[in-house]
Amino acid sequence: MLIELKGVNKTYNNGQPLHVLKGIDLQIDKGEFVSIMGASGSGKSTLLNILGILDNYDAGEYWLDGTLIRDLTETQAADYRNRMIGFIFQSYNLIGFKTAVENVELPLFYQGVPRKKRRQMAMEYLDRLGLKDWATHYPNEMSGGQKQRVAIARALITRPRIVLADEPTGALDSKTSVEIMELLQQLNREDGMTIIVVTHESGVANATNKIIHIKDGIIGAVEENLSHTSSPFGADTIMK
Amino acid sequence: MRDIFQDIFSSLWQNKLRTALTGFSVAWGIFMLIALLGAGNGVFNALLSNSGTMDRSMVIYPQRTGKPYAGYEKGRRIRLDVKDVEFLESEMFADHVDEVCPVVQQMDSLVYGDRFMNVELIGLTPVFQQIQNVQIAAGRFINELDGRDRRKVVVLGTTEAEQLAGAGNDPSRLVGRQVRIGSFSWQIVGLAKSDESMGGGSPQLYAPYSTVSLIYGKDNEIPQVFFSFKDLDTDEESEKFESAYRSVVNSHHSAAPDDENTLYFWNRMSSSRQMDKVTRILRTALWILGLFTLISGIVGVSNIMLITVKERTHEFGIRKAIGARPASLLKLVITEAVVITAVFGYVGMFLGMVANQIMDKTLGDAPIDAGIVKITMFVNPTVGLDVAVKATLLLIIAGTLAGLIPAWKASKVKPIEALRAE
Repeated sequence: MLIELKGVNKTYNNGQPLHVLKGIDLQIDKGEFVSIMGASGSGKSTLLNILGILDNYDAGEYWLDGTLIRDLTETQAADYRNRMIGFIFQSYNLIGFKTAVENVELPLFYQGVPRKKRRQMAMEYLDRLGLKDWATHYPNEMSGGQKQRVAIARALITRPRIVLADEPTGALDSKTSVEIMELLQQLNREDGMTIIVVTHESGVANATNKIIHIKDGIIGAVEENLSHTSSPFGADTIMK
Repeated sequence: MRDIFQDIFSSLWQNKLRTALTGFSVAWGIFMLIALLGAGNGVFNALLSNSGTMDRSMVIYPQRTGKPYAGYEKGRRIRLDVKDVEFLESEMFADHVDEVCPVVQQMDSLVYGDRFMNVELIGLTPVFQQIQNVQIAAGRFINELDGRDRRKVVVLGTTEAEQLAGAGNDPSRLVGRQVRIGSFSWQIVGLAKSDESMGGGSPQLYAPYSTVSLIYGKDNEIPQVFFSFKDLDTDEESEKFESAYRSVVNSHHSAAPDDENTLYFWNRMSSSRQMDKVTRILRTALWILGLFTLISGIVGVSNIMLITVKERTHEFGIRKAIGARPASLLKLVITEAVVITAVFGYVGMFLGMVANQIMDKTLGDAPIDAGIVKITMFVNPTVGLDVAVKATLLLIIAGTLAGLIPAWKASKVKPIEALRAE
């Protein structure tokens, strides 16, 4: 198992204690393309933060590729994030004063990869995502879809074990959303990349191979969705 | 490192006005520091160049007795005589006394052609030249032979020489001429540069001690004795020597053996030591003043960096999410603070040195005429390479200090909260 969660609990203590995750048990294998679906407040973002080692948990165990992720120092957490996890965010989270290629190569900078090598790899990834001509553009000179593809390139450049996508299409129109999801599908199929998408949109979830429903801090149904018929983009929803 | 600098440059370039304002406060601080130190150096250099007398020398001035003794009242004037000078030259003090120069003075009138002036004849020995740092402009100073043969020779000050020679004539042509002083004819053997910082009084003419003493009968009325000394390196040693000589003089003049008021010793070495001390204190004071100015600049940088860190919380969150260690953010922010302080500090340092050069060109070496004395206020008002190096180190330390708190804040940014920001 690539990812294994056993009884993970998380409580936020901001005045009123808020028990967000109430014992999550979850297993995700290498090469899976999974979506975690739930309404807002269901705990899916908290789960994603824990999976991404951005946040810690109170009880239980989280094993990532055979390593127990618990009680890490900030530096260790940073190193694990850098080497094992690629992030894709709803709001892209590119650094505004850096060009596309500089944004993509940033994770390698924190690995201490030499400058030339870094630039060359970043260009390769941008090329793969069809953004070679946009390499020297700044984020505010690109469209939403292009920015998200830069972010995907940045997530992939360290060859992480898992890619975590938090509402990757949340800020995109439906046409671009489909393109981005197709891109993720392709990455999963061709490179065998393990991808976990957190979303509340059924259309996005439907593009994945497995849908994990989360509700009130507990894993609910787990749907196999290899046929991608559960809920296509635009169907049964007001949005998109 | 290159990447860090590129990073910093692009983030500074984003906020040009802010960078410029922050930089200005640092540049101003260093500018003030350098300008102050340069001006201070100018004053100190001027003080040093105005004296220039031999360090290892003393002047003895006879005073009045401080207590009644042997039937004499208190307050009796002591007059040094030849015997006292001989004591000083004797074996008794040979360990410390090098060369002795008794000095006698006599007012008289000088006549040269149709010109006339009242002058003060100073009778002295050749060592006076080294002790008082007399600069010869033409001819020579009084020498040993003049003294031995009691020659009637004088050395004239350049100012007087110009007056005697008259306008348009070269004063150095006076060397070798005869002038009449009192009822005797004297030969001018040299011209000494007039010391304008001494000021006042009648023109002074240097002549051999033995001649002046003989002509005017000054053997028992020596108002000053100059001498150069050796092996008196501390104040204690000097005091010991002074009281030893004083007791010899006291017994010669029937004053109480323990009377400390009879002689006054002006020890140039200890005064120059004191001078050094004062100079050091003043210099430290200037550094402190400059540093305080600089501190306001540092606080400014720190303040701006805090705002910057706050504004860049989101960016730091992204960096952390993709694997930036806290230490690397710490380094980034501190380097940014150091770069701002160093770059603008250097600008300030450069401008400060330019200001020093301007001071040097306008005020430097220009004597200030205070009526009877002329004093050079500023000599070479610049700072040396050592100050530049110190200031550089200071800037780097200052930059690090300025960046410390903001950097610590940046490194403590929680990635989830930071990503939520915006």
